[in-house]
Amino acid sequence: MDALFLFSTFILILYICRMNKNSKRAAFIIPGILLHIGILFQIIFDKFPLHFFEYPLNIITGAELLALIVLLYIFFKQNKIIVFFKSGYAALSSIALFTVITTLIAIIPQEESKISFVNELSLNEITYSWYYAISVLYLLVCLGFIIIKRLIPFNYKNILFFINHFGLWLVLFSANLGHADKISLNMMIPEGEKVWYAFNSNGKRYDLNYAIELIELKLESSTKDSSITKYEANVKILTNQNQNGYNADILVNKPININDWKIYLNGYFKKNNKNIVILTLVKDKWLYVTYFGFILVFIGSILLIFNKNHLIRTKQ
Amino acid sequence: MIWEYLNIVFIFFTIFWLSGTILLFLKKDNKLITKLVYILPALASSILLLYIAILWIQIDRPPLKTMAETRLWYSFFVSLVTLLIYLKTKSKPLYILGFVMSFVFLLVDIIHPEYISTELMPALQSPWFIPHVIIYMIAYAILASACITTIIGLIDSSKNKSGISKNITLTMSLVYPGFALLSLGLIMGAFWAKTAWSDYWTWDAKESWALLTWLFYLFCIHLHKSFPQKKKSLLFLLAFSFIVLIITWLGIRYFPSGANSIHVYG
Repeated sequence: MDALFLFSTFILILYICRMNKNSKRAAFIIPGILLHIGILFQIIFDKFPLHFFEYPLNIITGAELLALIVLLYIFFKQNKIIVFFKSGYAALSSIALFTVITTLIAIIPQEESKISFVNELSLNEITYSWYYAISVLYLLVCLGFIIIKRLIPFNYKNILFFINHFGLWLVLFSANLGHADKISLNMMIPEGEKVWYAFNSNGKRYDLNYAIELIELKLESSTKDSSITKYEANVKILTNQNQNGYNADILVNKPININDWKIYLNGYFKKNNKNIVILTLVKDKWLYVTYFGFILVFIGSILLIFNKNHLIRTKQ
Repeated sequence: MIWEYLNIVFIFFTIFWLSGTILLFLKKDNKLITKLVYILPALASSILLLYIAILWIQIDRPPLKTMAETRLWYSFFVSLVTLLIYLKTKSKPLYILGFVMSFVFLLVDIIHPEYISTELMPALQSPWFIPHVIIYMIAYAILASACITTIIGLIDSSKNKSGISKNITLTMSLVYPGFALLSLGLIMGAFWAKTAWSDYWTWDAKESWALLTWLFYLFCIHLHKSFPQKKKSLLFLLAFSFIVLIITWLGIRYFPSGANSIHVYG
């Protein structure tokens, strides 16, 4: 594995030495280099330290990234690399790099693996790997340059372009760097009992400022084949503001809110003849940013369906 | 049970579409015949839609859960989109192929009555269900049509190079709306996943493959916009993108990553 890596690095260096400074070559070389750096960092540093980007560092990183793109755009307009980032080549190569990573995720099961190099290269947890992080960054940078370039002239075509591309930028940024702030916990409540703590995926315990009591788990099965078609948890919620508590029903597809938290019905199991409900508790401030991005792309897509200009070539 | 009447619907659907196809090859001087080429398949689609509506009322939920039910919608939308495309392009091969596709979807339902079951699992009980699935179906139907024009383009381009530009214009006029619908379906799926599974994106096998399909078409669109001279590469990539789409739709469970997908039902 390491030998293969060294060999391909060697080939790449040879290729760079022969590189004519044109965008077509850069479209192959830049993602190639990035992928190599990603794999190298993966081997040296192990997982990508996403928690490092917790608030406020993710906002600062985002602002700095945007500022850097704007400054480079303004002051180094003629630079070969900047010219590349504004070109169709950059768009294609950044999509291609991200597609390669997504292909790996789509093919390799993202779970515990017995194969050593799969674990070593984090191929079973690609979204926590360096090469994934770098491919997202590359997309964000390419998108950033092209968004600024297409701000002028301000016409319908460019507005449509902005809605789609900036929406995607927001989704990519908030879903990845914003993910560092997301808290997702699992809470298990046996029927008739009250629980005020929950655990994250690593088993770390979180004490909450509210408690949930499971009054009853209602199961409804279909008459035909007795498979469960509906289940709902009747709970009582006790908070600091409301110490006597209030009742609520949680269903699959019908989560409830407690303060900043969203509470989902995840599942249930039976232990010693007692129903135990699994709730998922989620706190994600970036959700609004992600959703704003989604809505922008949504609107952009609807406009794209009805856009008659999409067949008119933009250039050359 | 209403499913027993599917045979009758199937027979009418086939007769109307088949008559339309035969009239397609008759002389075009007759105005009535020209009109019937549209009216007959429109009637067939209407009958199918009426059947779906009655089924919906009878089983008291959107008929979108089982393979049998989704095929009804697929058949309906393929026939509808075929008709719309024919209105725009007057392409006879697309007309026939669209008919054959929707015919086959109905036929499978007739041959395999065991696919008809009635219960929905909890995660599927959501208002996002109908728009999400239908949008994807229209997207797939449009992109399937785009794949056909792509193949026609590839065959033509090996014979003579002159027709390829016209073919790409036609293909891309399908790919753009198809891709836009993929985006809508993907986003609706994300909103739905958030309420059902507490996360809008979990890199489940079906999600990853859906994203992969989206990325392939995204690449094609950018290739077309930035490098319109790369005609043959574009056609090859479009054909390959459709293969990725087919894997997303039907092939997930055969991949190691898809074995435990939460999207594989039943």
